[in-house]
Amino acid sequence: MKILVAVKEVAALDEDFELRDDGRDVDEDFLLYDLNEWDDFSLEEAMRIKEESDSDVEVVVVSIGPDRIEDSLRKCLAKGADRAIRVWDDSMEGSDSITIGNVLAAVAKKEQPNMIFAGVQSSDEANASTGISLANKLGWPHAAVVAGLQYKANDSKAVISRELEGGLSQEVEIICPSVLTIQLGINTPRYASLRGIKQAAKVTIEELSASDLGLAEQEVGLSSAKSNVRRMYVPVKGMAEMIEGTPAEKAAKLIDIIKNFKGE
Amino acid sequence: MSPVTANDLVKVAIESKDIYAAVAVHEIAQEQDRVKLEAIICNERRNVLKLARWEHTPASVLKVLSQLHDEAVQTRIDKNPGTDGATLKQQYLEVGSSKLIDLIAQHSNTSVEVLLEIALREEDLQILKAVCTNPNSDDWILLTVDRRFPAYFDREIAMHSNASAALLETVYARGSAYIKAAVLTHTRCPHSLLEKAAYEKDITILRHLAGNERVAASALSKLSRHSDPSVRRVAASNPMLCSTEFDNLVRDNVVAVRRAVASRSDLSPSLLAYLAKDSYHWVRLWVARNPEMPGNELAVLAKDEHMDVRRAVARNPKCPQDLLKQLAQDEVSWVRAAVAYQDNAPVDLLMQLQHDDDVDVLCGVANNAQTPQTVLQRLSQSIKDDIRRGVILNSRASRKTLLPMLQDPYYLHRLLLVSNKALFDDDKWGMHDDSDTSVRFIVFRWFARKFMK
Repeated sequence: MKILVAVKEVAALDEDFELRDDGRDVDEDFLLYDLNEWDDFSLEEAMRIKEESDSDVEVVVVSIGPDRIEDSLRKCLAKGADRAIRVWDDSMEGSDSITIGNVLAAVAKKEQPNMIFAGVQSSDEANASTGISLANKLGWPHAAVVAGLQYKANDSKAVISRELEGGLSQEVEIICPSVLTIQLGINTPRYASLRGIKQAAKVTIEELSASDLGLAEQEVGLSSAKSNVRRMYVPVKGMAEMIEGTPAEKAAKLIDIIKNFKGE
Repeated sequence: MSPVTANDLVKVAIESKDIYAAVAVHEIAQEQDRVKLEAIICNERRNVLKLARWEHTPASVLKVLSQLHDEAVQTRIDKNPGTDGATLKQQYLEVGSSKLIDLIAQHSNTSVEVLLEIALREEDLQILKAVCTNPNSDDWILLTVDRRFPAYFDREIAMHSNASAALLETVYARGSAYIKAAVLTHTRCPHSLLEKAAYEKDITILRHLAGNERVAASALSKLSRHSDPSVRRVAASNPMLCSTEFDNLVRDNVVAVRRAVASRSDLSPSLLAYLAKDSYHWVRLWVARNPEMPGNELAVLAKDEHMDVRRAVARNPKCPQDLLKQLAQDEVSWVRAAVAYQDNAPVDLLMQLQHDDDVDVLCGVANNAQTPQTVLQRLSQSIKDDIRRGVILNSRASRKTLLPMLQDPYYLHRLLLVSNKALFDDDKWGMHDDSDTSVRFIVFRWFARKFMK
């Protein structure tokens, strides 16, 4: 039994950032990188299935990106993942989320997992499409925004609960293998132990290029992208007003604003 | 083995090429080594940007970064609370942008000299406002700004701790009710204004006057009987209020007033007993915490229908042990947790509470200095972060108890252990190559400070 967990190293914006000269992204110097929060939960869910199983379950994490993403992959290894795969070559620069889904599908064909987990979305791009496009490329069933999962290793079906609008939950039975995008809060992700971190530092991360996966250059990168960023900008600020004055004056103004909103 | 000298420590930091270790030891390094450390620190722009913003970056490193003449870095340095006065002065002399001058005017380490320069030269009202709110601005600076722009910054001056009595009188005379109210709460508010304010009609002014501890006793008594409940409430909280007024206040028909008087620490046992029967639970809660509360009344409050009141009894520093035993059986875990945190909780009670299944109760047991080491050792293996942290924060946790926790998976716990007095230097040094950047920084900084002493 094998679970493939697709993870991403995301960029968080530092304060007072600057945009790149081409105006299409933030200058990399101002970005802080870390493992996508949703992916912590999907890895934990895979680890839960592995630890509850009597038979062998292999958890393999995969990520697409340059050298620096190895930090995030080692974090996953430190938490108990068995193997880590990094997919990259320069031709992949500029790939959109659909292309990323295609690349992950190629990894899945190579690895032959029984289940695939991904985060609902990445915190930096928020497309929420990688897991779904991966399922589409594989022709596997999929479920998005999974907030609860009843599944044991080698089961032919999984029962999942999904969060819907208005506080509703939906219970869905899904045929396995399938691709699930995991929602925050489904479990409590563990911290990596110091021993795990030390062991993970020694593990060799498997590296694959597009050609290793049988993908032609034109199938990845900017040339294959169906969408591209035209510009990135800070929108004009809203009409927020700072309440000025002495503490009593601020309190009085605040009361006025509240009364005004209440129509008093 | 931990380093024996400052030089040894600096050498380890240089060899590690770790920016966090380099930053931590920069202050204690000798000139030649400083150059090597600075090469590590300034190796990549993204690290420079990160350190310029980081609140733990020492002033000596920020000074080095300020010399890089990178505007994005300068902005972060001027915002960083660790930047010292000398660096800010240099920044002020070298930069011309209003944005940076505004940040310098706001900075709590900007010197009086620089603030005065800004006060004398700047025309930008936003920057001058920052000068008037800067705690380092002295009376002369405030006066200078006021002379240049009369009445423009009255609010800021009325709230500034360095404003002189004369300036406060000027501001009071021309100010709105809000400005007058702010002047009346000022520690330098002249007595003449306090006397004058007693004849004001505005409720905001009177409410602020009622909170001033220097107001005349007769005026304060009068305010405690004012028709407006907000004025009575503030007077009821004033520590200088004459105790003869308490009888009326405990019977006040407004809950907020009774609540304010109930929070006083100078109530007589008879008044405490009276308030213990108040219909509003917040009033009972306040008196239940009071160490002077008579024992029989405390016993009644220990059976109060409201859990916050029972919890307050459990937190009372003079809560008798029989009541603690009773409250340790309370159905609400929040009440049992208060017993677990009680300094006077007997060991047998803590032994009993260690088997509780509630995380707050177990945190209390883990924090309690009376808890035996064997119990702490068991709790140190809990899967709950909060419980393990309780053991780390326990002032009597022994070295034997803490040693395994140096491997705690949560970085914050390892970080907290660096300053623990029960651990040996060698124990702490074991974390100098920790996987977490902040732990490494704290270890190196702890040793650097030790050598500085």
